[in-house]
Amino acid sequence: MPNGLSSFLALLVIGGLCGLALTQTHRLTEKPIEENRIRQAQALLSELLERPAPTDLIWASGVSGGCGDWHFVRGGINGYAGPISYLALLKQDTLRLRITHHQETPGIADFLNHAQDPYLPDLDDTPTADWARLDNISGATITHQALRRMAGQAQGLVNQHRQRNSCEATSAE
Amino acid sequence: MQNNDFRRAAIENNPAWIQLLGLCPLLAVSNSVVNATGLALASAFVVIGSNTSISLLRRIIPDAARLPCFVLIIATFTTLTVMALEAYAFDLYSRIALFVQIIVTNCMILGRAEVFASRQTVGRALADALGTAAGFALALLTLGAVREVLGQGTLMADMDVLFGPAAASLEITLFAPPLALALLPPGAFIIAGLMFALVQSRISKGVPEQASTHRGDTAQPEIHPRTQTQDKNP
Repeated sequence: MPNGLSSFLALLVIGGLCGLALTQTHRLTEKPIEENRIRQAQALLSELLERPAPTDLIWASGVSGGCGDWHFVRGGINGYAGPISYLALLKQDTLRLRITHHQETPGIADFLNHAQDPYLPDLDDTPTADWARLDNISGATITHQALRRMAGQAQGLVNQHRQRNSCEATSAE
Repeated sequence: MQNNDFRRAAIENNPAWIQLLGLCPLLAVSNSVVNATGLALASAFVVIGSNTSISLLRRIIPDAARLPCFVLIIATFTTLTVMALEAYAFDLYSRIALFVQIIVTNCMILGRAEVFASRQTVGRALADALGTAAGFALALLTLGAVREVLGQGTLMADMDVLFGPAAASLEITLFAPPLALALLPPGAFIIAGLMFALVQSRISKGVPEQASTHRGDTAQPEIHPRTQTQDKNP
């Protein structure tokens, strides 16, 4: 058998075995992983809302909350080391922000982990307009810029959501 | 022979203290015993699984494509570990997830695959993997314990995250934290540096100069295995 073909077949066998192990493990762990993620998300929503969050939230284009005076927003912005996912609560014109996933440099971007660092909880209920001026001098890092862009993106998504659902017309009536 | 493989991998060629491998996760995750234990178990699973698999498959792994094959196998075991942690130890996963994922790039594991597992029998590869895992765990747990005691004034805090509610009682509160720096990255470098220096001084005291030189010679095949033939399995 030619050398190249035998190498190819060997790679195929090894790749197949690895794929089989991964798919079988995925099948076993899929359900508990999903349950853990839902539990974590629900705890985070409740923390932001300061009361038990509804379990039947309907999400459309990353926004939930219908035409009420608060909206949950979930989205992502690129940081220094990849996408940063967030969950935000926009209550009238104020914003509460939590990071749900990031790959920023440990030790430098630890302030994103709200469980370890009070940086984000301390900014709770800051008007969205003020987020644009956040740490303009002292924290001029790509991660801080990402936080500012998150606030802008969250506000933009809520505005689009309210327009799409004709919320302003409904409230005027 | 397998006892020798184990002892050599765990003590004489300790991956962290002697070879200075796997230092990124070692320094980053060793801020408490529970985090260190979690990473030690995850790394042990990956190194044992990959060493055994590579040894089993060594006759069909093409020499020209051996590194991609090793990385594929190591990445598979790392992903299996990540999935298992996220499913069954979610709190611990939230704390050390990033460093579990980068086990795939840990030179210690790729090194053992290339130097040892790819040319030895399954039994010897397993003994070597067990020794490597034990050596890495020893380094992680020692550093984790010292940093936790100095930085938090406790020992084995939050063990319930890993071993369930009953393990919460394992926590020992010693005193008010005397050195908060120990929990921070600079503290990790300083304490690890002092520990490495201590280990090196013990070695240089225990081994006469001539023997030390000889040890350096025998270490050569570990570093440049493909140029050596003596430990290649026929």
